[in-house]
Amino acid sequence: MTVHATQEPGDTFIDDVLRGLEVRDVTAPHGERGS
Amino acid sequence: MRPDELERHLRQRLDALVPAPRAELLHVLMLPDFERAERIAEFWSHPQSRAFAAEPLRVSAGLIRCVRTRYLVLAFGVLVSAACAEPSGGGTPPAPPSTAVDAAAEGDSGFMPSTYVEGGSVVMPITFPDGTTAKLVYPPELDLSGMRVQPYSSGYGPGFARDFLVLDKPIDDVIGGYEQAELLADYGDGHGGTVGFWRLPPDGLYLAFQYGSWTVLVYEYAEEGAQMSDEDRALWATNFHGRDAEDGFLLLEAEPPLRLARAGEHAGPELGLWSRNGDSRALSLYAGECTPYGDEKVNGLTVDRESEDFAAWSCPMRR
Repeated sequence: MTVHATQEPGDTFIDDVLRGLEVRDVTAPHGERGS
Repeated sequence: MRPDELERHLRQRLDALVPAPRAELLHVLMLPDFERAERIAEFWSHPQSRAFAAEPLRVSAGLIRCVRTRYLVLAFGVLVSAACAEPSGGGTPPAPPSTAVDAAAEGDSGFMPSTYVEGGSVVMPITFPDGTTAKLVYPPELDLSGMRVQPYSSGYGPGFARDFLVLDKPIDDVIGGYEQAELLADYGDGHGGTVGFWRLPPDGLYLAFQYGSWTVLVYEYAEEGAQMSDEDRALWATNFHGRDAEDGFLLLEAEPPLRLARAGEHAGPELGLWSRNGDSRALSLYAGECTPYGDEKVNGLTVDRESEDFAAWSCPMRR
């Protein structure tokens, strides 16, 4: 999975997401595990 | 900058646009080549359309020049190669930003994804329009579930391709949000219902579908020469389907010869998370294989961050 993030200049949102977001248990629609 | 890098940057910029301008740009990219060349030239010669790409994103002047240069080179090349082809009848001016989207951002709460807490983290199950599922795990202060969810995808048929504007409210509210909405035609859906073909000024023409709690608008060009045929629109009405997933996200399906873009394909399934506060905080999540790209390492991630207001990365998945 790819992530794009935007924020206001000077905001810390992107860094907060980079540090805090984790993606788990990805499952493709045909039942395979995602990558 | 290498062509593949430029392509990647361009795609990232397109993906980060607010929905209506992005939809317009995607329509351009999905046009047959000689139509696309015409629209591209028009796009860049039109101050308003050029502004809506540059202004919200604060795209660097250098990148704009690169993109414009590439497009104009592409346009020139395609026009030369298509010199013997029949002209396509021209394009329509790009649509201004969507009033429906603006209204949704300003007012109602819309769809709120369910979450639960696990070990001090918030877990938010998500479902992409193609059925890909995942869990977003994050600290409570990120409050991603408080953002507005906007699914996105596109579909193809024989000789046409269109992408979707998805709104998390009933179709009557969406249509009712346009002061000058005009129903142009109705198409039978094959199950006793109809699908409306609407003129929704100032945003343009759309086939409007209600799927569960979501409204899906399939774009149509204002210029007759660029439009789908009546049979094409009737095909959308009968072969395009959708519903609420168990978690409330939108699921979309299509029957041949209609086909939806698959994960990893251009304009394929994605989920947007948009700030409800009117600022630029937003995430776009793309289903499909991840290809690490970028020259910055943050928390073990490879990040492409060319400015302080935009970043792209591939998420490692824990299973």
